[in-house]
Amino acid sequence: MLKGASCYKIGVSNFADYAIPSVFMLILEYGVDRQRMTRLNLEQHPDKLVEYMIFRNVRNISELTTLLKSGKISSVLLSENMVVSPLHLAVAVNRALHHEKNKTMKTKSINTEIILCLSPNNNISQSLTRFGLNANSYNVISLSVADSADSLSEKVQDLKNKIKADLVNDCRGFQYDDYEVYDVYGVSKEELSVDSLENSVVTKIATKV
Amino acid sequence: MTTLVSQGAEGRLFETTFLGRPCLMKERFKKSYRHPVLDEKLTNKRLSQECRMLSKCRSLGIRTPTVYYVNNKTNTIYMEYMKQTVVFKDFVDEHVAKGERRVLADLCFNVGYTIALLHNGDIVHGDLTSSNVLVMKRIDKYDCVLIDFGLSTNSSLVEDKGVDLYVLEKAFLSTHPNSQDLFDKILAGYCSAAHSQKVVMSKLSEIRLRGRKRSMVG
Repeated sequence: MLKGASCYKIGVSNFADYAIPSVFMLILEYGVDRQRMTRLNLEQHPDKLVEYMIFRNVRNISELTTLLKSGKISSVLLSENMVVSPLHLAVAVNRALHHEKNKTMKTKSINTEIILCLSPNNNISQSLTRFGLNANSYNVISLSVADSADSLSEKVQDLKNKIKADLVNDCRGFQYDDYEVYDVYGVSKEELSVDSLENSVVTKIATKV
Repeated sequence: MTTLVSQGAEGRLFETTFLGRPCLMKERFKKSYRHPVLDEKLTNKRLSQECRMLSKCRSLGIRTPTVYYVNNKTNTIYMEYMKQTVVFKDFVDEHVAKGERRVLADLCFNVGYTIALLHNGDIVHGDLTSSNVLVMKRIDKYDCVLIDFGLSTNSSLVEDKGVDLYVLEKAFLSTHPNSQDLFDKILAGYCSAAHSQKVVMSKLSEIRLRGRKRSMVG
């Protein structure tokens, strides 16, 4: 009987150790993630507000491309399969803002500069076709940079009206295409054996000459 | 929110955050004792060299800190703050004091192996000392991380590689006396992987006789 009692006790304590805190943590983590999901807080450029959104199953790609080409969208639209993580975005935006500040931009606007900064080389047209929208992309990441909260919310609202898709708050991260990322960024097998893909890609774009 | 971590002759290290993660800011400050033009040229060159090498070492399979942001106006690099690592020098001191030579021998072999990877990719570190190697614990073994590539160059010369090892030997044996056996382990690790190990080793013994600077007489 004693044995049985102790077993029961172990069972209860296991449950207490495992189930309750993990459920609690999940709620906590989800809550934190949801808040952190869309806003990128760049410490090095505190005067800028940067926000991103994930749109899945976009239904009006061709319409969006024409809008982009005529300059009617004031945010960056990226296809999701080439972006590894929010850090990847943040590093590119940070670099682009640095170029804007020092007037060393290679492209005409901050939006294209961000796309150029995402790319592993300095080829502007190549980076636009690779990272921007193309005819067969389904999932899109939008990135809006603004100086004030008002203009940011205006931009975000504008995007929500124009893009016909499911707006997702995916805390599992981006759905990127591993092999294409390896290929485009030239990530070697040795490199992946020492560190994560995210860190490798980030180092490559941050140290690009 | 930046706090000073340490200060060296070349620059200062600050701790900040980048997108909420711990980040180390390495700033190369202006030196008033140098001619301004020379100063700017040297600082810029070292900054860009460090960036290039940090990324190149990664592709050779050597763990280096992740670079987040390079500001070439203020000559600062923002990189990952690896809080889970210990400086190789402190690690050696601690383990020698405890008498755990076995762990150290394995680690030294690993350090030598990493240097061989570096030299195989024709990179010469230029300032290889036991304080420029970090030790990171993986689950069952220790990995090493190389830092401070400000003086590194691209070179396939045996002479440069030999000098690299010679500088390490000098620094290692003077900071950790009575540890010739550990340095031999580093060399053993180096020889296990380096492509041109025989030539470099004979060059090293030649450099030991004459010192780091080649005699330019005649």
